[in-house]
Amino acid sequence: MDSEAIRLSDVRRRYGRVRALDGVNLSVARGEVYGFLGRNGAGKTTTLRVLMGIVRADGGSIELLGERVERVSIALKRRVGYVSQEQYFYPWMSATQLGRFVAPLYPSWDEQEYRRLLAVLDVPPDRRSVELSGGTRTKLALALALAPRPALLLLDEPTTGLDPVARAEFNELVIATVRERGTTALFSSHLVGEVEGVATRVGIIQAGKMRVEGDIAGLRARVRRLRAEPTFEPPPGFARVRADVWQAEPELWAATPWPEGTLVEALSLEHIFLAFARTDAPVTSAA
Amino acid sequence: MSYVLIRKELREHGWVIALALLLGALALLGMLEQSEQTGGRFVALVGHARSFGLLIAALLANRLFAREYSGKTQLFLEILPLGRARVFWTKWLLGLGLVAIATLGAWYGSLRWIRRSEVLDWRGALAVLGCVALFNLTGWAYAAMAGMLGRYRYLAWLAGPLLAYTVHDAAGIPIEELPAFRLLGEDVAMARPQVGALALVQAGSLALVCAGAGMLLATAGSGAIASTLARRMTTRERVFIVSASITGLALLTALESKPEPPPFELTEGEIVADGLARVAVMPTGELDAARASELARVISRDADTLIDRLGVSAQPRVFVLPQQGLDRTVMQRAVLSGAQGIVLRVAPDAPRPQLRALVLHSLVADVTLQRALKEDRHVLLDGLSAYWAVRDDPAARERLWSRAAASAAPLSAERLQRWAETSEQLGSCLADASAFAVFATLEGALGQSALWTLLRGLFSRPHDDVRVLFEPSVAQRLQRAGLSWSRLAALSERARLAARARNAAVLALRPSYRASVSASATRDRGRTVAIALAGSPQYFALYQVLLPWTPGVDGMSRFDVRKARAVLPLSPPRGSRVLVALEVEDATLDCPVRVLARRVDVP
Repeated sequence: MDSEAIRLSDVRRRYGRVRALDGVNLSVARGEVYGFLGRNGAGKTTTLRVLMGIVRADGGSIELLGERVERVSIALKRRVGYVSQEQYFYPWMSATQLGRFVAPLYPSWDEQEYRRLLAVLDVPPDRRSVELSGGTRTKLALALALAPRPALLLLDEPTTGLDPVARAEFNELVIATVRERGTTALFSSHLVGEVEGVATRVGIIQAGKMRVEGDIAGLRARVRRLRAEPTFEPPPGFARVRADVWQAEPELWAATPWPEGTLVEALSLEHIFLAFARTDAPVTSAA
Repeated sequence: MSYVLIRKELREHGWVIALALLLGALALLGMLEQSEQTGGRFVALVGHARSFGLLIAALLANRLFAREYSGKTQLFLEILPLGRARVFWTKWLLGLGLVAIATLGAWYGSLRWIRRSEVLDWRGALAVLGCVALFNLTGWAYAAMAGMLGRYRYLAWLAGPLLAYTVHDAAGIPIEELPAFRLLGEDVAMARPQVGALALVQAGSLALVCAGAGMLLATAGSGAIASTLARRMTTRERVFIVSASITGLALLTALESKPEPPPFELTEGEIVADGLARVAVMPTGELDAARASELARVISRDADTLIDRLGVSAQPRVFVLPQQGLDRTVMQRAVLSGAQGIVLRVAPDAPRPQLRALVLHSLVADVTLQRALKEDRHVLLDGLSAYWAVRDDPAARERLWSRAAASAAPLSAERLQRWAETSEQLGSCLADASAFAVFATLEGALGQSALWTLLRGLFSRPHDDVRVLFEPSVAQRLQRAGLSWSRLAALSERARLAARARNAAVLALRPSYRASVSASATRDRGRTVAIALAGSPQYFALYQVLLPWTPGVDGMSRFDVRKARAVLPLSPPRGSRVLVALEVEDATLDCPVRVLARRVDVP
């Protein structure tokens, strides 16, 4: 069995003249929660839609749950749960009716689990979806995504618009489910703090390209701020990310004899994200 | 197919579908009731398929496709393990099934209704079912495709009938002859379908193309096309559509075909109908039945051959009523208000070539909706009529040449293009002869093939609406044929002078005339118009008062004069104009020759 749930190599997708994905490389190990960071319009949603088979990639290769796919098959789709940023349920259907509608499409549908999730998430089962608040609708979408016990969970900025309590409940349920079932989750967001609390590894995408990828601690060890004389140039092995933010292997940071007055600062994930996600960041900054 | 989706659709739209089917059934009932008086058999079913069948298809497409996209619930379906193609085909087949149920129900209901009073064989009834079902399938496929066009679906639904109407109006193709609609013809309504394989293939192909287009819209660009089309219209789009609709409606109104009056009913005299023309000449004391019949045959042959040569669609009715007491050169055409036809009142001894030319003239004028009379093609119309009437008579042709040669005024391009004015100056005898000369010259210059190509373009039935503005002018047509007005005038004048040389001896016998006309106002005699003519002991004056609202010169009064000077028997109002023409019977030319024509202002 392949150890990776997702592997994207050089995946490309254009919308007219716009390159939404410009050779995205991404790998997510089984059972991990992967934080997919990027600004609005960076390519997060398109990447997730390509993985879900909603959008076809123009090029590159996609491996999903150990299968190399040209087009995401129905069988594969049954093993993937998806929560999008906005929910478009049939307004006349209640949570119970939605469950009844969706259940026959998934052989692995667990009705009991669905009811439990509705209860845990505090979603009224018999109220029409049009009458539910935005947060409740998102929780309903999570319940629908988790009830078939998917092997992979794709979350596309699901907590946008949720209040902090609802967001915390949502994230806790995701973490609990992943831990309990060993589900892989790809959690896309532009809220760094949220991703930091949920994910074990992160990737930052900007303008359709992956800028950097790795576990959070490793990233913080690799990417640091260097305060030095303007004329100072770090030795080979260091790559400038943006302004005074540099990237190098942790050993190199430790082994380099820094001149007097030079200050090396560790950065938060948010600062690392800001350094990579700015549009003026040089292309050479990717590790 | 996805039964899960079918269940969802039926649950979501079931009540609307049931209501639509109920209304459809009630409408069918009403139509069946009415059809007993209007046509019987499957008339109601055919009418129902054309109206409610299409409406139900549009409604279903709106509910099954358009609402899914406009409500963005399609995005919810896309994250489910279904697939776009499967979603589309499930909905398409569900819609088809519902349309089939409606069709079957309507057909069965109609059959039961008809069988209460008639015996119908199953074969005919099943053939009707097949035709109506295929029509409804095509209608559904089109409606479904339109449904996939999102915010433009209404335009597509409108475009279908609009296109059919335009084709019907512009090309004259009846709607019943259009693809798919051919399946609902009168033969089908009468339970005797005679639908050919081509009609079936056309409808089937149309349905396939529409279904394919719908599928393409659903899946192409990862469904992005359909999703984009489903968005709400922008203000700019709304303004554009409203403007385009108004323009389209205005255009349609302009293109609207005018109803034609029925053909004139011939009831008297022996009716000759050897070809397309139906001709009758009323026998009188001076024109016995045999001669009347012979004349009718000649006129009929003239008309048929000319219709054939011009390639026009015409079935003229001609009625000639000889009347004693009329001057032999006076020929009057009756104005028919409620019918189409050529009804002429002539003297029993009216000259045959002129009578025949007048019939042909009237025929072509009618075919061209009188446009040939008002434009610069008038000279060619007069020439064609005169020429065709004497086409087999060399002596008559030479007589026309001699008349043309007698005219003192030379032919110029301007005079040819302003033929109404030239005719007024020359009088009908010399004008017709001059037109004949122009036409004969044209024949010589172009040759038969190019001549008739030109004439077919000139004298075809024109559009009776704004499209006439886009037709090429006579000058353009002449240019295409390698001629111009000035060249034609020069050639005609040269031929006329040659004819004058040929007939110099005969023409020298003609006396010379001098004429004058003047208007005056005196206190004791009021306003008068005085005429004078020297060179002939008797002559006649034709006159007409022209008031500002007088549409044209028509129906001039005749005043016979036997003295050199005279005053016209009229009291024209002050400030009016009087058209006065003085003519003498020219024994040499055997026709009345106009010596003078003038429009005089009354003081």
